[in-house]
Amino acid sequence: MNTIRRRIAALLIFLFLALSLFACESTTAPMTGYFDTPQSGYAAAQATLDYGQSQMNDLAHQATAVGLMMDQAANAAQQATLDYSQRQMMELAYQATMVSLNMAQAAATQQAITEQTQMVEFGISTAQSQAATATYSTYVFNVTQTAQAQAILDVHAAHTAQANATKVAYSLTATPHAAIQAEIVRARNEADRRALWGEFVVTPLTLILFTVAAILLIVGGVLAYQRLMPALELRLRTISRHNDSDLYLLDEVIVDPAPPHRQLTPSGPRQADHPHFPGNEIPPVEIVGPSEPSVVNWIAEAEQKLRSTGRIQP
Amino acid sequence: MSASRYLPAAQSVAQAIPGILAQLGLIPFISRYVLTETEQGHAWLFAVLEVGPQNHPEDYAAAEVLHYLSTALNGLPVVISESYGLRYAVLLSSTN
Repeated sequence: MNTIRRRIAALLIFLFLALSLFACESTTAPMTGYFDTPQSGYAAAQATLDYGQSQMNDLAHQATAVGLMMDQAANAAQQATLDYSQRQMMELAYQATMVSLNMAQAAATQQAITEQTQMVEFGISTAQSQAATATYSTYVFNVTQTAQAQAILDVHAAHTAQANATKVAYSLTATPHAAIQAEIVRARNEADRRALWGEFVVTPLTLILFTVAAILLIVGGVLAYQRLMPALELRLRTISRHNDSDLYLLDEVIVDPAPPHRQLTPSGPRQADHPHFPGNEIPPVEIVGPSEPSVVNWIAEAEQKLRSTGRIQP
Repeated sequence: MSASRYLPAAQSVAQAIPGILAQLGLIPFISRYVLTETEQGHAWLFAVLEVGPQNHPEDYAAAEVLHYLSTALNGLPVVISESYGLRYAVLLSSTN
């Protein structure tokens, strides 16, 4: 009796598997809704699970490939490739999620069919086991995919930050390290040379020039004082002149080289203010007798002219 | 009579003439001063000039210059003597 039952159960299982294969060939999409027979629905759910498992494997492979591509792109600091890979990774994650949902739905369908039919305990337990395994594997896969995606995103963010930092640093320096070193050495040499030049040449030369200038200034002042003092003294004696020509110092006398014969318009002499020789030196006066031959003619001519003006009596 | 009694006045005039000429813008090319007194009692002071032709001697003989000299010397008569040289003749004594 038990043998017959076992055979009947094996037959039913075989039939169920055949129907599942048929259903799997007829449609690969997950079956939802009402099933004509529990066997066909269960087979469809199984097919969905198998298809989902294969898709998950495929997606995992693609995700690995995309992850590698992202690493390469991140190493090469290629932003476009990183962005494209990130989008592709997100799309793969979305597809994985959809497949996981389909698989979960298929597992639920299987469970519902199993509960509906209650025909084969072995099949039910197998289906439940498969569903649980698939769900667990899907969950584990999702967790792994999420962690991997998060890690990839973290790597991408780190690479992006590193690339930005490198770009900023390069833009700030803009010169190679050797060039900067050479510039620093050149600037230091220049500063040293200027310091030496200033210490041993410029400063002593400036000191000498200042000394010479001071000496020349003093000598010039003394000479100018000696030369111009008579003129200043003459000025202080309120000598009024009618032209602005320069004065000469001739035989210790201040004279004007420009004779004002065409502008002899004296404003009136100051009778009580006789000008004197510079230095108040009294000029020598020779006393000669009127019988001197040279003086005789002078006297005669002077008296004649004085008589002509009527100042003395003839 | 000795002319030495006019010596202080002659020295005063001799000291003043270069400045007066300078006031007029003339270079006082005076080489020497000669004091003498005639028998009539006229005391003359001659300021001998050595003015070259390039120094415009006619400027020294201008009437304005003579008048200016006379006025500056308290009205003493001043004339120009041009024979055998150029000189000013200042009459130090009174004309009366």
